[in-house]
Amino acid sequence: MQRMIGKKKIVAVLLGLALALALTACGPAAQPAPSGGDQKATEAQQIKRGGIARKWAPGAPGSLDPGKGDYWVACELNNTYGKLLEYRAQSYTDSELVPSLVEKWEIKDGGKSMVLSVRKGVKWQNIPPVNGREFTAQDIAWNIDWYKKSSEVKWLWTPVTSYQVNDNYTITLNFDEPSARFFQDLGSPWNEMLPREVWEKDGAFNKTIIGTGPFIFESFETDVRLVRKARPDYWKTGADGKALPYIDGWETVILKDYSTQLAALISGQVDLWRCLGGPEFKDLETVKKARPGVQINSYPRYNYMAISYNLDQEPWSDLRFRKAFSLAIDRQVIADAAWDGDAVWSSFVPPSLAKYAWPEAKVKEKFARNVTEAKRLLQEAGKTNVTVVDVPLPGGAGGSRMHEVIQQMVGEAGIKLEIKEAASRAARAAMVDRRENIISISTDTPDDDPDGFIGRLFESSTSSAQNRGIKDPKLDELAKAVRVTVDPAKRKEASDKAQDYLYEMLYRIPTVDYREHKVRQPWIRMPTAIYWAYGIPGMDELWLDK
Amino acid sequence: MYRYIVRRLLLAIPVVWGAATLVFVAIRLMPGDAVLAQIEEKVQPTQEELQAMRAQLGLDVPGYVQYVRWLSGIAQGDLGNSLLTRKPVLDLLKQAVPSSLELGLLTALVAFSIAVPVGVISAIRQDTALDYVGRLISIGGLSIPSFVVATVVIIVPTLLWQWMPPVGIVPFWKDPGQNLMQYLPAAVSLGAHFSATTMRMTRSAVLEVLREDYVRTAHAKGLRERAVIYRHVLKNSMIPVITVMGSLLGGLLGGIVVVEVIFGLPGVGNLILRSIQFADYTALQAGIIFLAVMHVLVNLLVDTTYAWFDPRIRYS
Repeated sequence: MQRMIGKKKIVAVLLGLALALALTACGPAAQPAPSGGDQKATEAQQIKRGGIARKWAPGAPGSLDPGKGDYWVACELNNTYGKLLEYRAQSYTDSELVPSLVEKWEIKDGGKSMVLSVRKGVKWQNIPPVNGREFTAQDIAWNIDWYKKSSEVKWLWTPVTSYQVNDNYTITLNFDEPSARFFQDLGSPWNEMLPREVWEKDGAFNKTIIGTGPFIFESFETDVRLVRKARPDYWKTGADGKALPYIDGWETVILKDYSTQLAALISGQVDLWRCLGGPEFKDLETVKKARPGVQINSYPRYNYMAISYNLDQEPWSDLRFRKAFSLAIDRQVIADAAWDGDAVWSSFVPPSLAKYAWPEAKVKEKFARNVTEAKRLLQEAGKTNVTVVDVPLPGGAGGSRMHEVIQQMVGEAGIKLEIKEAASRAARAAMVDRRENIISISTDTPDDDPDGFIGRLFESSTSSAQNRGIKDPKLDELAKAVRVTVDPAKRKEASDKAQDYLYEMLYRIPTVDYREHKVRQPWIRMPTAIYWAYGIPGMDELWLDK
Repeated sequence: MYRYIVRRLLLAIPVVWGAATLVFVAIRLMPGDAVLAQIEEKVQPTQEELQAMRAQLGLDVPGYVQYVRWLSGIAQGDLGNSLLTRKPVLDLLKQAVPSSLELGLLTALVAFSIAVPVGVISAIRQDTALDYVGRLISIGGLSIPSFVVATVVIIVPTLLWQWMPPVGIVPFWKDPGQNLMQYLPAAVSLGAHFSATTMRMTRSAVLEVLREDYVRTAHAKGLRERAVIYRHVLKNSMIPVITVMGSLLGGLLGGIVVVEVIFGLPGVGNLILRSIQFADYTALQAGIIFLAVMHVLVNLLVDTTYAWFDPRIRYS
């Protein structure tokens, strides 16, 4: 009996298979790969609208005013406000700018003026007191004045010496000298366009938040969450022909503890990692194992870990001591011990800025460790048994380990590095007030332009240089060349010259640049990279595939 | 009784004032100030700009002038404005206090419901396996800090089942279920530690009372053990337990900082941490005053409950 049932089952299965094959043969022939247009149509069909995306951010700042120059605000309100240009950000090192509120631009007079054409029909969010009026060239003019007068990020617009509003949709900006980096700053997440009416009503931008962006600010609870909802009348349209954004809104929950942040990711409670940083390298395997299909993108930062000091303090005023300190350090040991090997050597312009950075071989040759030479220089300078104080800034485990390995390596050359634990403001106070012979090992202001690593740090007119006692007319000239040279090839040449000189003078000591790892849940579909330098472009095109 | 409470409250004023003054001085002894702590990396102010910012926050005058201004503000019920958010500190406290109170109450509940039953069982089954297990739990609770328990509570279920308490706090009145899922794990992390001390105190207090004549008499009268424990032993051994609980709860409010940060709870602990981070003097002073006031009030509450446990106690 059992054998009979077995045979019947086999016959049924075979009949089923034959039927399936016959049906397949009668069906349409195999389809060729979709063409560009078809592919877009397929994508449009796949897109699912709706849902709330969630990310986390650490403790919120005191004010939501974008003019304060806060990373947190720049990232979190990036899609509520709008910028003149946006980063294309198709990868983490794609810093090309694409039109946004400004549709096209023209550089004239050898870089001494620029005409911006405003996109027609873009409206502010329909909230009092702005009430959805059109964004015009007058708004750009008002923002130039406001940023230069009332914000703490004045530098964004200082190159503009005057402007003329030609009509509602064009404005001409004039510069005393060409500014190669000004154009890049038009896409900076700190450079949000703000509505004049709010300033006139509140005298601040931390109470009423209205922009031209795709998401409307809904609520903010300190230490809990920031909520935005989708704007129904945004000017951009999606692949499905309807107005963006695809999602109904997005929320940022405040999580201050790293373990909790990681747990929120692994438990699927957050969809995206924050703008700045990513999980530590050592935790990536755990994340991958716990959440199969998780999207991880690793990329070099626009920055590097540098050792800074006050040049008008002994022993740093002596070039031989600076050189000896640099020669005593093995960058590979730092990369291996502090960042688990997940870091690369850096010169004065970090390797992530590939167009301007020194080739890897040159960096390795110039910054090779040489303890014998370090000892000789110290001897020559009469600076043996010198003690240097290091006040570490709070940071990740990698940062902490870095101090210890540097202490050990310079110790081998005869320099005593005393590590004093203190809050970040203590370190900053000591550096700014130039009270002590201390060093600071940190990443400085990150930037996606070589000027950010040369002029902004070392030019004697900058507070950064003044705070560290740097005053060098030759360097000022070299830095200026980097800033004003518009031609890319000549600018690279200028940047190389400045770097060579910085290497000669060692006004700071570059070490390594560690990589960051951005993590997204498997269901996140988003065409762009989320990165502090870009803000969060493309949040309007994010959709949830679940 | 009323006189006693009023007198205790009056005595609390110098205690709170002392604590606040100590914090006022201590935070100003640290290098740097609110302006240096608050300036962003992208902002590189000159010394003149730094001075202007200090003047704006009222930090350009000598410390004693700031102190007098601050005290006179408090006398008028004004705790000042936060140096970070520029909002009235009282508003920040109003936002943070309910969260910390909820956490404090739940912690007390967790600690009490673990400590008293385990302590009593440990005492009445002295030197048995149950006693040893109870003492082991107590030693464990004492030796493992709250932040370790908190991290374990978050990480272990995440790694095993991809589950953690919901993030993004929801107030109790909006969704009690979710709110408890968010606060209870934090309360367990804190309560486990506090229950250990209370359990040890309960055990020794119960052991002492068990040897009293009136307990022996109760047994001799033929009362069942449960009745003896409930009616005679428990009530008479509670005074030292309540005292310990009181002082622990006062201290607990100071210990919530780390647990609030780990679980993302928007309480006074988080407020204090942010205030230290950004040198927000006024908010920090207000946070410490709140903790000092709570300490005093909890101890006052404990002292006034003595009479309920022992009617012979008179407040005069």
